[in-house]
Amino acid sequence: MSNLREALRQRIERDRLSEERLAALEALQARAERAVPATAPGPASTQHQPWRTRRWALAALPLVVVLLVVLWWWQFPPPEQSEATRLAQIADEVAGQHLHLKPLEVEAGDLDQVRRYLNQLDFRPLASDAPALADLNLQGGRYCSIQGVPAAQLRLRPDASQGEASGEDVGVQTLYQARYDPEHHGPLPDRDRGEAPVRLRARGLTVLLWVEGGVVFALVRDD
Amino acid sequence: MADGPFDRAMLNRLYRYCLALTKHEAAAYDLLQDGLERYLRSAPADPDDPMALLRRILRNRFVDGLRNRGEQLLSEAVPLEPECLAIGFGSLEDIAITTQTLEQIWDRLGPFDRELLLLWALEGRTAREVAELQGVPHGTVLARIHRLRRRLSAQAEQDADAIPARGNG
Repeated sequence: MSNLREALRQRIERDRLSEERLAALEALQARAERAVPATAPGPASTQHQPWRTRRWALAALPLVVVLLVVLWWWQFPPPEQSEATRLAQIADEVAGQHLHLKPLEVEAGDLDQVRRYLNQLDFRPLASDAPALADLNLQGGRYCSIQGVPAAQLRLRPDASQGEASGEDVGVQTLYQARYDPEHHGPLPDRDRGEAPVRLRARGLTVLLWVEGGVVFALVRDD
Repeated sequence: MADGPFDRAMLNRLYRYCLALTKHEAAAYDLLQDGLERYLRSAPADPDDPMALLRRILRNRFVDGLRNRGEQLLSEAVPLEPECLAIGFGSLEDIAITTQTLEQIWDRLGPFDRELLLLWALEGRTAREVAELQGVPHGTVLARIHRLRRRLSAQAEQDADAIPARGNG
């Protein structure tokens, strides 16, 4: 038995960032520090910032009212639309992450190596023989989250020889994998039952969603 | 010397804050990375309290994420009970608890209760400061503390009863 405050302190302070993640966050700050001289506003402009903010706030007021109405409608959508909305939300989130790719935490062309790094996930990242993944080479991976659920983000690149031969520059594709929770993700096509992935468009990108071996797959590509 | 406003100790403190909100390591790291990127892009050159500013950004992004997923912010709206007015964090000071019990309770608490306990136990915040950070009335924080005290005390009493029983057995 110990005092609650002390017990909480011990419990919470047990968690700490890994060396790799600390280094990544420090690198992020260092990059921003180097960028500051070119982009930082001068003292005169910062002086006027509060006034500008207020004026913008007033100008944006009608927009805020409209947004509130939209949000209200969005929070309580008609039942027949909520499933499509859920899929669209997943597609939008993974497409957004694809557009703002963060550095790989592990670089490896071998899935086993990536799995060894991503050992804190509550599922095992899977290899798949889905046609959409044919001729793609693994570059590495990192931790991420989809809809608040821990996930693996795998970076894939088309076979270089094929890309050069066809003259296409199809670029990097991102494959997200997360443990499938039917209540959380809703019904998705199951490849184990021979169902084809659902195809969505989000942020100008194509997103394919399916379930395989109890794992949700979300592939984002630019086509 | 750290590159940037946050040294390693600060980053770990912020990570624990994110972990209290999200409960999952990967989600906590993502939240911290996103929040830090946003801070570095948009924060004023020399804010009075960088930690407080980044913590606010992290919290707003977490709440936005909950709303985007259509999750209800249940613990944001706690009805105020009259007896709560007379108490605060002081009422938690005398609770004794085992590590195992705390571990079980911690995992079942909502994000805003975990946040509240972290701010009290690690950051030494008052109920009023927590209310300001959480953007809720002071009374709501007091009600939440009251509810936590009831829950933790009940569990601690069970522990206390169980210890002699185990000793005798």
